[in-house]
Amino acid sequence: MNNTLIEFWRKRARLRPGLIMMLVGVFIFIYTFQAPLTLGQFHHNLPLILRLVAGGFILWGGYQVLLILFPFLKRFQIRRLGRNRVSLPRDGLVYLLMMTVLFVGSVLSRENMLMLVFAMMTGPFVLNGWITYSMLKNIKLKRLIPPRVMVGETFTAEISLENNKRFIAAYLMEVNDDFTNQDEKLDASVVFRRVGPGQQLSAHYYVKLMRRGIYQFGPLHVSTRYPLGLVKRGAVFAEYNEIIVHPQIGRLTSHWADDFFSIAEMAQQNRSRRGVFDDEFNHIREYRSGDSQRAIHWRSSARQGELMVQEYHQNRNYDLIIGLDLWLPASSSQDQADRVEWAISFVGTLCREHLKHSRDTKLTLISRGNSLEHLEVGIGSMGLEFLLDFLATLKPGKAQADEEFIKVISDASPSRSRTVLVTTREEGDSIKHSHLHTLFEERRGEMNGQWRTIEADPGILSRWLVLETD
Amino acid sequence: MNLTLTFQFSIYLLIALSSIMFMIAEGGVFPQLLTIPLGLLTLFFTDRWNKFSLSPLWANILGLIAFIIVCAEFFSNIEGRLLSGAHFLVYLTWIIFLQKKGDTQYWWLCALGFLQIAVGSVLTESGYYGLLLVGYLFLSIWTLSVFSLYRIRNTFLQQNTFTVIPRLQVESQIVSPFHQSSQVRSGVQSDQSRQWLTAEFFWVSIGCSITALLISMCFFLLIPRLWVTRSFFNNETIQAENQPLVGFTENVQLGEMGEILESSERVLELAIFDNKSNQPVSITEFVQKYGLDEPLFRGAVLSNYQNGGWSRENSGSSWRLADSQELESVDLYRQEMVLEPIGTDVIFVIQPIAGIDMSGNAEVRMNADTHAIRLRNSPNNNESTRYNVFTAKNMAENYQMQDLNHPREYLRLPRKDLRKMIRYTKSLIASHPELKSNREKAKFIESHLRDSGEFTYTLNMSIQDPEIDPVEDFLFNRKSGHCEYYASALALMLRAIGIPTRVISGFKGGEQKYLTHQFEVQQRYAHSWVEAYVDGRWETLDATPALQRAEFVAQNAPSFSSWKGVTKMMTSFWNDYVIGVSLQRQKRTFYDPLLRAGKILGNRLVDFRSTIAHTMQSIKSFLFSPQRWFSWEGGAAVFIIAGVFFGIKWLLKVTIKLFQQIFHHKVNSKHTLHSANIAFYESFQMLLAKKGLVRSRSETQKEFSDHVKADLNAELSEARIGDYPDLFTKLFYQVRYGDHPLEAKQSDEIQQKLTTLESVLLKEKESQS
Repeated sequence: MNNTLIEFWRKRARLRPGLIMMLVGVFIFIYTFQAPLTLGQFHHNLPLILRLVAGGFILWGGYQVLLILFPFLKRFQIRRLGRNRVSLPRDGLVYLLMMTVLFVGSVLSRENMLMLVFAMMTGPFVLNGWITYSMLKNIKLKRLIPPRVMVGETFTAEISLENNKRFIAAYLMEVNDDFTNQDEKLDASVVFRRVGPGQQLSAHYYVKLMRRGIYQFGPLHVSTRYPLGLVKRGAVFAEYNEIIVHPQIGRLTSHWADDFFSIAEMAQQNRSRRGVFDDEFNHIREYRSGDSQRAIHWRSSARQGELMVQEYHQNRNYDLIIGLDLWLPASSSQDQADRVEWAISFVGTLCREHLKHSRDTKLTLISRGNSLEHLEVGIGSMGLEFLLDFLATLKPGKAQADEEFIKVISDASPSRSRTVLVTTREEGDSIKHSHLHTLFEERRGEMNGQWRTIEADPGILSRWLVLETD
Repeated sequence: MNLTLTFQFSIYLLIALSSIMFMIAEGGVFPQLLTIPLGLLTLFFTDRWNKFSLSPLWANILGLIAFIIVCAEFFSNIEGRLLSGAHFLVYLTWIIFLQKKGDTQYWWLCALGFLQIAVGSVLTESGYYGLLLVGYLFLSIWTLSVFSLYRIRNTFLQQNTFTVIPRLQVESQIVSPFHQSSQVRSGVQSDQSRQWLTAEFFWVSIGCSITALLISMCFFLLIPRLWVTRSFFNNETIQAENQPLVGFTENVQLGEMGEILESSERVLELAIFDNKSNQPVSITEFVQKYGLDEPLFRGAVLSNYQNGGWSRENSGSSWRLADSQELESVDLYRQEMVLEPIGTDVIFVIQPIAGIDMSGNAEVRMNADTHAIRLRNSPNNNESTRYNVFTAKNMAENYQMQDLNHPREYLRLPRKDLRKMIRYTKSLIASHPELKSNREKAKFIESHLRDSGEFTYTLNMSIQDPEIDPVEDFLFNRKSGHCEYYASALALMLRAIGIPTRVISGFKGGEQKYLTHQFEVQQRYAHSWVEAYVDGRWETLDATPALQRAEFVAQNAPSFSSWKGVTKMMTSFWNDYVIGVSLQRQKRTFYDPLLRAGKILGNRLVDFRSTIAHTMQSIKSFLFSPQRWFSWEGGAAVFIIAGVFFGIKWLLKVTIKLFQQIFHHKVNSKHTLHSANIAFYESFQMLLAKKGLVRSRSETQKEFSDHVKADLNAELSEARIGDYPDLFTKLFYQVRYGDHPLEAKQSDEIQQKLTTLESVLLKEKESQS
C-alpha cells in the first residue's frame, strides 16, 4: 500500500496533465448543470454539447492517468500499426486556412460562386489525402546494410521498396531512416520517384560513421505528399538492423618495429636451443659466394649438379599479449575520451598487424574497461573480426588500476611472449601508486617474457600509429 | 524535359490565368494585365538568367508602398473596398515575381493566385468564369504536382555533398580524428532513367485533375446551403420570414420595406399533352390558343382590401370538379402538373379548365364563386402534389367564369382611405368621354398604369409617406412598385368606377427546361393580376409593365440548332446547378432521393428472404426466355454474371491464401523435406544435435563427419560403428550432388543404421545420467 502511494507520488509530474484534464472536465460538467439557462441562451443544445465534451475530457484524462499508473495497460492499446500518420505540411495548412475563409465567406455572403471555388479547392485536397492513403497501402520496405564497417568507411545502405498493389503506382515516396548509437543520432533519406504496381526498386544512401560501437537502425519511415504536397501521410515499418562500427584501424609505422623489436632483441630471452640453427628451414637455393659451407645441402647439390644451400629463416614469431587498460574518469574531458579511442585504435591496429604477419602464435587481449575481459584470438580473418567486434563495443571503466588485471596478464603471459600494456591513465602524473607501471614493477618477478607499458597519449601513440583521415 | 523550366512555366501560366480570370470578373484591365508581361520578364530575367532580383529589404519597402496604395484605394470609395483587397493580392504577386524564388515564394505565388480567383468569383456569376475555373483546376493540379517533383528533386539532388550533422559544441579546429561527425548523403531511387517528368506522370496528373473535379462537384452539390446571417444557426426557412422573398402568398400585404429577393425555388413543373394522342403540346402554343401571351397559373383569389392588404372572403359553396372518366367523350388537353410543397392548399391551374385528376387520395374543391381550387385536406409538407388538369379544346365545354354572386363584395372600397384615388380615377375617366363601356374603361385604366410610362417596375421598396394608404402612396408619390401594387391599384381604381374586381395571386410565366423538357415555374415568377367583371364575364387584366418579362421570355425561346441554343442550355444549366443551388433544391435533388433509396434498400434488407426469392424468380424467368437474352437485359446479365464469377474467383483465392497462412508451418516443413532422400542426413544431424554436435554453417559435411568422429570416437568404436559418419556423408554427397537417389533397399539400410546410432547415443546418455 505504502509502495503504491510512493509510486504515485513519484509519478505526480507525469500524472498532472491527465488529472488537470479530468478536473476541467468535471468543472465543465458541473457548470452545465449549474447554469443550463445561461448556456442555453447561446444555443439550446450548448449544455448537452458541453456535457459531451466534458465527458470526453474526463475519459481521456482518466485513460492517460491509468496508462501512467499501470504501464502494462499499454499492451491493450489499439495498435495503429504505424500506418496512416497524417500530417499537414505548412502548405497544406495555408491551403486549409484559405479553404476555411472561402467557406465562411460563402456561407455569410450566400454566394454560390464562392462556394464553387471552395468546392474546387476541396476536391484536390481530398484527392491528395486519398491518393497518399492508397499509395501507402500494400507496400513493403526493406533495408540492406553490411553487418560491419570501420570508422570513417563510407558504406551504402540499400532501401528497397516493394509495391504490391495491382494498379496504383507509388509516386514520390520519401523514406527516412534514422540510426543512433549512444551519442549520435543521424538520419538519412531516400526518395523513390515511381515504383510501379508489382515493382520492386531500390535506392541507396551513403553513410560514413565516425563513432565505433553499435548503431541501431530503424524503424523506416515512409511518407509521401504526392501529388499536390498538401497532405502528408506516412507509415512506419518495423525494420530494425544493427551495424557494428569497428574502431579505426591505421597502420604501424616503422618506428614500432624499431622500438619494440629492438627492445625485444636486446632483451634476454630464455629459450631452449634445439640445435645449431634454431630457426626454421625455409628453402633450398643455389650457392652464392659468402654462404657458409656448413649450409651446403649435399644431396641436392649432387642431384642438381651445382652447389645448393639450405637456407634457414629466423623465426621471429612470438605470442603477443595485449593488456588494454581503458580508464575514463566519471567526469572526463575531451582529451581523456580521446585517449580511449587512441588506445582502442592502436590495439586494433596492433592486433591486425600481428595476425597478418605471424603464424601459429597466440594473441591474447586482456582488457580492463567496464569489466575485465580475457580474449584469446585465433588466427585468420574470423579471429580478427571477432576481435574488432569486441573492440568496437568496449566501454571504458572508471575503476582504479587493480591488482587483478595485472595478475590476469601475468598469468596469461608464457615464456617467449611479448606483452604490451596500453593504458589511458596518465602515467606521468604525481600519484605514483596508482600507476599501472608501478604495479607492474611490483610484480616483475612473476612476469614472463618482454613487456612494455604504453600510455595512450595521442602524442606518444602517433609515433607508431598512423590513422588515415580525410 | 527540363523539370525546372517546366515548373517555372507552369507556375507562370497559372498566375497568368488567374490574372485573366480576375480581369474578366472585375471587368477592368488595370492592374491585373500588368501581371502577365511582368511575369514573363521575371521568368527569364530573374528565374532563368539570374540577371536581377529584389533584395528582401526592397521587397519589404515595395510591400509597404503597395499597402499604402491599397489603403488609399480602400478609403477613396466604398465600392472599391473589396477591389482594393484584391489589388493588394496583385501587387504582392508582382513583388514576389521580382524576388529570387525559393519554394516558399513559389508556394505564395500559387496561394495568391487562388485568392485572386476567390475574389474574382465574388465579382461575377458568369458561366465562362466557371469554365475557366475548371481549366484553372486542371492547371493548378498539374503545377502543384510538378512543384512536388521540383521540391523533392531539389532536396535530394542538390545535396550532393555529405550533410554534416551540426553538433552541439562546434570546435573551430578538430584535431583528433575521433571527433569528426558522421556523415550521411541521401539518395534517389536508382534506375536507368534519370527522368523526373515522364509521360506516365503527365497522364496521372490528368487523371488526378478529372477525379478532383468530380470530387469538387460532389462537394459543391452536396454541401448543404445553410446560409448563415447575423443570427447563427438560422437556416433559410427561418430566414425567409425576416426578409421578403418574391413568391406566392395567399394574403397580399402592401407596404413592406427593403429589397425583395428573388427566390429561385421551383414551385411547379408541368407539361401539356393532347389527351388523346399523348403528343406534347408546347406551352406557348397552348396559351395562345386561349388568348394569352404567357401562361397564368391562377391560384388564390382575393377580394377584400383592408389596410393595404388583400385577403379572401371565405364564402360561397364549393364544387367537386369533374374527373377524366367523366370527361371521356370530350376532346381535351392535359396539363400534367407537379406542385412542390410550398405550404399552401391552393392548386394552380392554367385557365380555362374542364376537370382535374388528383394523384393518390388527394381531393380538391373549386369555389363556385371565385373558381379558386383548393385541396380539401391540408397538404403534406414534404411531398409534392401531382395532378392532371384537363382543358377542353372546345371553349364552351370548360367551366365558365360568368357568375357574379356577390357583387357588393367585389365593389367594396375603403372610401375613407382612398379618397384621393377615387377622385383621381373619376377625373381620369371623366377626361376621356369617349370611353363608353365598362370594358373600354377597364382597358383604359389598365393601359394607363402599364403603358403610360408614368409608373415603373421595381422590387426595391421604400415607402415615402407611411401615413397614407400604400396604393395611394404608389399612385401619387412613388410611382414605382411591383405587381402587387399594380394589381391593387388597378383593382381599386376599377372598383371606384363601379366595376367589380378581384385580385388573383399566382404565377406568370416560367422557364422551358432543356434537360427535362418540362416547363418550370419558380417562386420568382409569382405574380398578381386582376379579374374584372365586365360584359357578363370575368376578364383578366394585368397592369404590370411586362416589358422586362417579355424580353426575358423572348430570350428563352427554344432554339437548339444554333450555337446560341447550346450556350442557352449551358447558361440554364449554370443557373440551375451552380448559381441557383439552395437547400430546398439540394434536398429535392439529392438528399430526398438518397434517403428514399436508403429506405428502399433498408426495407429490402429487412425483408431479405422475399428479396432473394424475388431475385431468383426473375433470374429464372430470364433464363427460360431466350428472346430476352439478346436485349439490354442480356447485356446487363452478362456483366452481372461476369462480376459474380470474378468475385467468386477472388474469394477462392483469398480463402486459399488464408488456409495457406493457417497451415503455414506444415507447408514449410514439407518444403524442406521435399527432397525426401536427404531426410536421412537431417535426422542424422538431429541425432547429433542432441549430443551437442551441431554442424556450423561454414563447415562442410565432410569436415563435420571428421569432427564427429573425433568427438565421439570412444562411443562409436565401442559399438563398432565408427564408419557410420563417413558413410552418411558419402551417401549425402551422392544424393545431393551426384544426383543418385537412394534405392529402397539402401534407404531401409540407412534407417536401420540411424536407429543403431540413436540407440548407441542414447545408451551413452543414460549411462552418463
